[in-house]
Amino acid sequence: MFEKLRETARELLSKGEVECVLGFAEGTLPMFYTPYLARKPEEAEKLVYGPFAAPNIATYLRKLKGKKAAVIVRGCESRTINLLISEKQLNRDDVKIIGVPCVGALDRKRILKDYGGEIREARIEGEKVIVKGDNGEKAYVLEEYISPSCRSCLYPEAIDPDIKIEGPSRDGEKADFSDIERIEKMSPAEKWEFFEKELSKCIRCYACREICPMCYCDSCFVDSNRPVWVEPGFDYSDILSFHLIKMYHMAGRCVDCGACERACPLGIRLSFLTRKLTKDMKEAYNFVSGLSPEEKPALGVFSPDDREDFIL
Amino acid sequence: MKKIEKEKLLKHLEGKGDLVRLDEARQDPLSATKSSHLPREELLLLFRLNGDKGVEIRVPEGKGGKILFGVPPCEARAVDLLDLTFLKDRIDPYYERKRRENVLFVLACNKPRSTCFCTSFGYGPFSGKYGDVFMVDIGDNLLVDPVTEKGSKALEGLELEEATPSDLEKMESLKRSAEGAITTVNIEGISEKLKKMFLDEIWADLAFKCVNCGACTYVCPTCYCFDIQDVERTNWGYRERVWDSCMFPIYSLETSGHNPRPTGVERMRNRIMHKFSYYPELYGEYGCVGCGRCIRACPVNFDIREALETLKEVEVAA
Ligand code: SF4
Ligand code: SF4
Ligand code: SF4
Ligand code: SF4
Ligand code: SF4
Repeated sequence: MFEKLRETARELLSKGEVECVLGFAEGTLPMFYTPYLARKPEEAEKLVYGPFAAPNIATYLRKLKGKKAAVIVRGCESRTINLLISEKQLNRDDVKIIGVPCVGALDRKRILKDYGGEIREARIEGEKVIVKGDNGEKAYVLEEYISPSCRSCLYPEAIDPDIKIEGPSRDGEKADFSDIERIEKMSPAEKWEFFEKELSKCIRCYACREICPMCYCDSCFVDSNRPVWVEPGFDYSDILSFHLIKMYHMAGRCVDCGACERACPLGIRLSFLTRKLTKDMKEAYNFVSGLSPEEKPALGVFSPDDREDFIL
Repeated sequence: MKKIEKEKLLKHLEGKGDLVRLDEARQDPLSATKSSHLPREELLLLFRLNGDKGVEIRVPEGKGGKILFGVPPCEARAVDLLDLTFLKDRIDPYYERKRRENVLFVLACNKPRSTCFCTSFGYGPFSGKYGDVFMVDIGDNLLVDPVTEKGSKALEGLELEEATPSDLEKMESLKRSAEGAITTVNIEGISEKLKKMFLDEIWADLAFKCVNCGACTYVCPTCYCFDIQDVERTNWGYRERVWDSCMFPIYSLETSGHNPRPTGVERMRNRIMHKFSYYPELYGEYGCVGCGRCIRACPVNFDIREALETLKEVEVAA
């Protein structure tokens, strides 16, 4: 099923058009594709794509600065590339964009939880994920276990790819924000309790920050100790500060890829935050991040027509 | 070995200390065994400016010990490794108190996970020499065997039955199937080899997919790195110890601004070297117990078993 992609990658590498092809390969755990860099034509054989790919591959572009690379992307990853270009982190000419179809990324932890025992193998069969392990074989409907972020994805397919691999993708027309609307209806006290319950589990491992392609600052505010913006312990106010300030820095820059949520070893639902950002940007500014590399950062421009009614 | 019903044993332990049920929390991403000896945040002392009297300092008294029930052998072994850092050359009083007071009831693993590779380190899911009491769940009963004096004391006053030959047979068969389910990584000679590999180019390849978060080291039962911070308020404050990780950029950042481990490549090298080269060199033991927690926690599927295989393949000049 990955023949077309592999053939494309092999050709790019053997013709010397690129030095490497960035994408995913089978990992060592079931339902987990791992980031992979193919550098020789024969290594293209390892490339895969699909719901088992959890990270946002554009994160790795910062490790490839100065190299001619091809990168295999889904919709959100291609929007990330546009943002990186508009923020002058990347030259469009340095990357060849190979777009692949996307049905959404799997919320792997939910399957692990619902299955209960140890899962030893998994595969995708049509619209199902079939897993095998200590509790026997079970089938899960992929759509029911897709990351919350993917549910509201309007652009599952790569925007302006250089090469496009065809295949079935999600229906980008129907954005579903019902989970966020549910929270919006809560009272302030309920909201506080809801977020505290979720976020107080945070161990500040910063996997969510490191995996985020848009969190590329050389020196992050949480790491600063002169002055101390966020204290080092596990006081809830510090944990909350980290997440809220990260979100401020993400407004209009987050592509809601859901990679941070999938990265969290504690399974914290970070999409409650990223999806609220996405929803608000759409409602307040009719803005979807990363639609074009020419687009100016949403919070970097001012228009007299900007809505003001939400400013306190 | 002796045997007893699980409920009876749990009843006996009631009120003897904070009971932490690890037998029911094996899927938890964090190791409660490590947190019970090295909490992610630990108050070391409080200070306060008291008028003319100057600064008053108070060291908080520790809370009572915990009974850790159902510790997997790997995590109990990991505590023995923590001892090398916190008790061997110098004694860390905060650690020492908890180590002295906590009682570890180790439970053999009947069902190892796909990420377990403990057998690579010369022990296994049924090794009975770690913690204070060794237990095996044979279904209707627990087989128990005190390992330390602390363990014997914890069992005092209990009516224990003698295990029958058929109980022991059951244990043997559980042991065989558990051990059979684990993939061993052959790490023979790796520490000697790593000594010659500090400048090898392989580290860049190995580290490529790692994004340098703290997940692997935070969940690792043997990782002990910490940071000490003074938190200041108006006229009082406290000193605390919090977990730290060699994967973070500021971990090795010096005051001058120089960082001897400037990129993820050097940080990944340090993590592997510490466990598979420096530890063996210092203490004659690997700093990894093969629990596989890091493999499950990693957001990008960096698998330490795979990394070891890769390192083994590299050719180094003699
Ligand atoms: S990945 Fe999860 S635990 Fe780690 S810092 Fe982010 S929210 Fe906290
Ligand atoms: S903050 Fe947004 S862009 Fe960054 S990883 Fe999370 S969802 Fe993706
Ligand atoms: S390095 Fe990984 S496998 Fe080894 S002890 Fe630490 S968490 Fe377990
Ligand atoms: S691997 Fe890193 S975090 Fe873990 S103990 Fe060693 S230096 Fe510390
Ligand atoms: S958890 Fe994975 S990505 Fe994070 S530092 Fe460890 S190996 Fe790297």
